[in-house]
Amino acid sequence: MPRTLAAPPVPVPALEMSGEAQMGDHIIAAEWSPDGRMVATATVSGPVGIWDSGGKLVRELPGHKHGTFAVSWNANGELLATGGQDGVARVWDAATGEPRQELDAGASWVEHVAFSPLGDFLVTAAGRQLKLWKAGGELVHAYGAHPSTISSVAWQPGAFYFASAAYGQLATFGVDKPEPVKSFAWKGSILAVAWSPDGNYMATGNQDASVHFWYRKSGRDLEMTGYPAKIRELSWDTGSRYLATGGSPVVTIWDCGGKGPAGTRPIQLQAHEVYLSAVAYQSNGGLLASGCRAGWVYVWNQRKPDRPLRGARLDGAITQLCWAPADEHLAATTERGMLRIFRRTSQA
Amino acid sequence: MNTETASERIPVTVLTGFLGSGKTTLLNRILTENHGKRIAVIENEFGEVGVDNELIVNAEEEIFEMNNGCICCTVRGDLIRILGNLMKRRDRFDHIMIETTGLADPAPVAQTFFVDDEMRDRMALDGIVTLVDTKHIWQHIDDSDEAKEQVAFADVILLNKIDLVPPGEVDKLEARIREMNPAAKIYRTQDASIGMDKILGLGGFNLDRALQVDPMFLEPEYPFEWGGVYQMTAGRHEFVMQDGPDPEMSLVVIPVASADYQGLEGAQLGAVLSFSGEKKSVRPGETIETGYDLHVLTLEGAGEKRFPIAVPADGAYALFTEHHPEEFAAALHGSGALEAAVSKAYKPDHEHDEEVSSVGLSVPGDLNERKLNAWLRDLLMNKGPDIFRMKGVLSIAGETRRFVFQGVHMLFDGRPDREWGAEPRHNSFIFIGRNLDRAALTEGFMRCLVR
Repeated sequence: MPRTLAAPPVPVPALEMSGEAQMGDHIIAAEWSPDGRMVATATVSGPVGIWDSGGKLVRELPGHKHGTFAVSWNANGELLATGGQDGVARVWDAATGEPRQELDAGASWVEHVAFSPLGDFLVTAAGRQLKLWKAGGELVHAYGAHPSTISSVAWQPGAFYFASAAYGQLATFGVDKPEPVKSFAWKGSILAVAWSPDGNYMATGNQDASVHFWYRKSGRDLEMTGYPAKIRELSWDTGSRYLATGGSPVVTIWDCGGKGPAGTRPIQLQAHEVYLSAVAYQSNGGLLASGCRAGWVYVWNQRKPDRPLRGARLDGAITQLCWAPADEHLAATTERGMLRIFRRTSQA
Repeated sequence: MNTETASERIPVTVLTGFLGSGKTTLLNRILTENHGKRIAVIENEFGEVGVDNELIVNAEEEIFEMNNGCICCTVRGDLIRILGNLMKRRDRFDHIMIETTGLADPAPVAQTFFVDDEMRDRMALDGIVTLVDTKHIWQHIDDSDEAKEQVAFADVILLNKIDLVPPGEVDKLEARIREMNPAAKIYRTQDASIGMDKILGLGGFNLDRALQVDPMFLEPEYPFEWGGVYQMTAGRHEFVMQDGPDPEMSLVVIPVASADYQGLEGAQLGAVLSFSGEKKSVRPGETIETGYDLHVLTLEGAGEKRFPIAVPADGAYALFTEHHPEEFAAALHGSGALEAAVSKAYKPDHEHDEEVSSVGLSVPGDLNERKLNAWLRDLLMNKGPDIFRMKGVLSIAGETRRFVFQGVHMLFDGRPDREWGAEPRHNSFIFIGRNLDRAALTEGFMRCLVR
């Protein structure tokens, strides 16, 4: 069990709000456009909103019948991909809101869509089916069925590789190959995968209350245990040194510098009183945002671990936290349909 | 222990039964009947049942072992994912129904609601309903572990297709099933026709329901049929027996605090332990010692047999006998024939040839929470794989509310429900499983009582 600090939560200065919107239903996905000017959010009932940083609705898309699961911007911000419960992934013209493509993802629940950081490739995952497309709708590869439902996909930052996770395996793929580049068998259920920005590690959060570090080159893996519950919240800092994780009310940060994280004690940040539901490092600034099931959002400087720099409470459990690419804004969404955008201040 | 009450969680019913037992028919009934509930159905075997206002999701069974040192702990990953997504919807469902494949072991489905923190917080296992194909079950019940497990796990059992077999067969089947799982409510159905209130909203464990089935089922079964307390004086007494139905009989004579019911009941547990302990063979004329030694009286040959009893001091003594003394016209003699101050006939221990059986306990008093936790932890670590289900309503010392709990293999989930109020505080407990050790379970539980 991660060490819990005795310090009680302390009042912290409020995060500065830049805008707010209400979508009326659980927001399941959120992502900033690459230029940081707009954030796309999706609800479990279907509608997708594109908002400016002041929380003003720029465009609304119908999303997917029965519900939307995922959103992803392409690298230049012209296209938005969505996946949902109607068996297809859609690619929308972000400027007009017109659907450009409808891609058959191979099963009824399309839980993951992700545009590549380079080259406009789109990965879709539905049930056990994994497919790679070009943004224009051309199917590049339909990979063989996974041994079980795909629980997560993640691109390697700045590369043409991506990883998929499922019960029983973690696999990596390159856009030029119809087969996995590497397959890491593991008898456990992987819930989330996050690739370190330098490409050396894949971190996974698992149902059995563990976090694994997979060394991409050697295939070795390192298990970190001690969490009270499953872990789905993972975020790498931009230097690929720190991995922030949830799985408890305490933000647990593993340091991969030096010989770590093997045998090291994690950094622990305590302010939340209930389980975390989101963690997100800035892309450049090194600050970390954490959100919990009680609706609190805190922003931390982990070098001052005693208390968060700033905080705010939203209505309902936090579902997503994401920093705009240049860290100028932080978007937080909740299960009660709230989107709130915070502005970066000198302290946070 | 969680302080949330059960009622805030969405109830989940698990439907099990072999292929052809009528699960699809029952599901169709549930979906089409006007019960005013919004039900989400997770189906395993593909069936065309599209109905408004209900959601039907097809799941691919993805069973995995929890990597947590618990050898029997398997869960359904697909359910965690699907139900996790369903729970995000604003238009929540009133009830969730999960159909398992015909040959499924019900444990992974049930365990899913105990192992995953989100599942546990938001949903509660309402009941396991097992459909039995009355005509074909005989092909499976003797040699299929799955069939036995499905029966043993059930809260409700529907003996379906009764129109296809003679009533006598159904009686025989019901008796057989009752032996394996005395706590389940059994209904006989044709075309899976049953009132929704009989299968939905069971609320986990309902003691009243269990007692309706068999008023004595929570009475522990004892290895003796009779017990009586006598006031005796120091010196020689005699147990005198006439001819009876058996060539031997076990008994024990235990000193007790008082010659009343309290005295008798206080000695019961000790007697149970004696009866499972070492035996001491005694022939007519040989002396019976008081204490916890089990004496097996040899009764070969016809005619009256006398067994001296050495009573060390004046006081009350409880005599527990394997058979009712009336069967041997037996009596205790001091200077003259002695009458028991109080006596009690006990529910006889069944001769269990079934490897799947149950142990029920019903005990007044309060439990020490720490001892109870320690005992359960130990028990489940060692015997978890053999304990299919356990359910109970407990009286925890210092807690004004009833503590209701249920478990599957090594996992359990308990929480306080309503106040005891005027109701007498009491503990009711049942284990259903394979090769259960009645005496050990009884003793372990009794040790958790606040003395």
